[in-house]
Amino acid sequence: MTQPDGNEDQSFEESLHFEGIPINEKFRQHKIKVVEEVLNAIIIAFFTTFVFSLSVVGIEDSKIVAYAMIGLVLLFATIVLSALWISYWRWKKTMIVFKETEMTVFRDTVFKKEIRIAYTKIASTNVNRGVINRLTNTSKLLININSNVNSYSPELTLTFGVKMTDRIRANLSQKMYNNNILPEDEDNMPSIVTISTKDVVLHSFLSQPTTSALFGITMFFIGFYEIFVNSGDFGAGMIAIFFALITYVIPVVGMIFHYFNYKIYRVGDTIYLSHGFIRTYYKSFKVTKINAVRLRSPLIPRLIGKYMLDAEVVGLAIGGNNDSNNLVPLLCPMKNKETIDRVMMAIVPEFIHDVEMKHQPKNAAKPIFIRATLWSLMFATIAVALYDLMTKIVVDNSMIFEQIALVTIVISVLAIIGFFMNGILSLRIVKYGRNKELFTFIVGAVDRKITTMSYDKVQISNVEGGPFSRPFGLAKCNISLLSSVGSQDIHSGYFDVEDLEAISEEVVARVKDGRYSYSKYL
Amino acid sequence: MSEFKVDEHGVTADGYHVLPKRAMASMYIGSIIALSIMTFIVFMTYRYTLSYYEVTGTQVILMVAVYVLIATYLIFGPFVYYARYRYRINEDRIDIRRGIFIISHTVIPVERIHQLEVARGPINNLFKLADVTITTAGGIAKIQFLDLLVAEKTADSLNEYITEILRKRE
Repeated sequence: MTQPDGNEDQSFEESLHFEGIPINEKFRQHKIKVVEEVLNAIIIAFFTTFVFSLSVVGIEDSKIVAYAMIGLVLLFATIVLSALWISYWRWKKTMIVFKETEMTVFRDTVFKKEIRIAYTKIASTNVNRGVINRLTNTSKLLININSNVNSYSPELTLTFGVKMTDRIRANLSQKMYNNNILPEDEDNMPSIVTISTKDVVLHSFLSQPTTSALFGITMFFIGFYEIFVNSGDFGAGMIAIFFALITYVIPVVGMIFHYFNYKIYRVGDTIYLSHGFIRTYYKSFKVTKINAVRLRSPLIPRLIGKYMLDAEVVGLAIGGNNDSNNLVPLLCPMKNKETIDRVMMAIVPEFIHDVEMKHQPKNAAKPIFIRATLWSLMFATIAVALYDLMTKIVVDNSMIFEQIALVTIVISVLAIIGFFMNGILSLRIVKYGRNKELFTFIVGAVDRKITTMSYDKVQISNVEGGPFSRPFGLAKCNISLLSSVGSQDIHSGYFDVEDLEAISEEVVARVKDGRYSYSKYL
Repeated sequence: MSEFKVDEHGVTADGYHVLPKRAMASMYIGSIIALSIMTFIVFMTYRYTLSYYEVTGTQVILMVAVYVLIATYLIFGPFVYYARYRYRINEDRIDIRRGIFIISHTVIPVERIHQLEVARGPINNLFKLADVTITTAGGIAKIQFLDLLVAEKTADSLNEYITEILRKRE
């Protein structure tokens, strides 16, 4: 049996390099897998004992406290030792075998498990290196299949030595994508687009949704004012700063670290992405696995002519922090339109279509403004009721309820203006266009989204007409795609029912007449 | 309204099926339960919370208006939902038209179906009705309140068809 458990067995390395993955040989993961699991258990044990230790607080009998402390130490030790034993046992009993057409992972513990994955079913193989991996010269290999079940967590997460991981990934890539990119070649491949650290920082600040950016910045200024200018209410200032941190600052910093050293290139039908500062990510996926390509631009970057490009690709889960940064592959960070067009041409020319985009029909103004009026009435009613309630609460020497009443009225007035502005802008902005291969929805009066989809990736089409749009023969369309984040609905604006029904008609027609072929997207 | 007219087999001119009459009874029982729970919550809230505070006339009018709106929806909703519910299954697509205020037309290409499930809750069970849940890679759709036999037959035939598609792919 080959034993490549971190000692980088030379013959195994060579066999991978020169002969591909050794067929039908069993081997284990790197031993650091055990350490990783035990470290997680230590964190859990710490919090568990901490929670139990709270029950001792306030007890004055030192004997009881001493017994309780011994109990807590024993509890901590039991959790950690059990985790160590279970992790070691699982590591020892878990074997990986690469076969001609599939790979198998089997675990022979009390809970027996056998996972078989055909190479043709693998959607992506990604490599992820965290701090522990860097310290121990290991990597995590993440294998995803094309399913929304594992769109949030990979089907398999295997830990090996760095060289081993790179070799296995290269070999799997060869089997999946039929190319010969070796790990050492990956680092030398030039990126389609040059992304400097300044670009990454700019992207991280500008790509946040306008609402979170405005809320975060406002909270930051309120906090600053309360702490340093008003200098009376330190608590309120800290709460405002806390909100600013969680809604804006932390996502921005997280994104800077995530997309640091960004690189993208395409070899044949495979797109390769690498980025990351502390944790590095190597992602690769076939262009046929892309369900939709989306050009996005929140309000502020759009004012300075910047756009970003991302894709809906299923099966890119990389374990750990699976937020949309991780799941939705970024094809180009914030750049001007010319650069975005150039990247699109080089990376996803399959999603470029020249088609006349139609505005919403003139009739759409009626349902849009009726809806705006109804929402406004609802907001106004709630605001009046709240104002009525707040102004009747009398608390000695406190203006807080009067202030809340005033804020409610201000928010409602702003919301009502927002509803009507959104309506006016959407008549200018929302568009829909289609040809025989692709169709596009443009939405977003504030944060613009241009989504181009292939008919062959549509799973469910839903055309909905409400009481205010039906009399004018209008409806909205929701398209369900297999998405990076499980499943996602993509919405259109108001268009003629027949125009929107044409999408599902085309989807079915393509299946019927053979233009859609399952094998085309393997 | 000609699109809602059905022949003696319960099929419209463009091939859509309607739900069995007892589906409406099942919907009404669901509505009555929801209405009872809502009335109980409103009563308890009034009895143990609001009666201790000075509630203004505007607030009472608002609360009564919300209650009446929801109650009206629950009373008339099932009738409209039943009257408008249409479904059509053929070899390449499933069409479902339904809705009370917002009428939706859902199309699921049969080729995209991953899994089918026939499910019965206690109320549907009482009326020998079942829901067929259609799972695709991008989400789920439901054909609700089908006759139990029709539901099982539908699921079986679709399953066979999908198995056939998968066999061809192998």
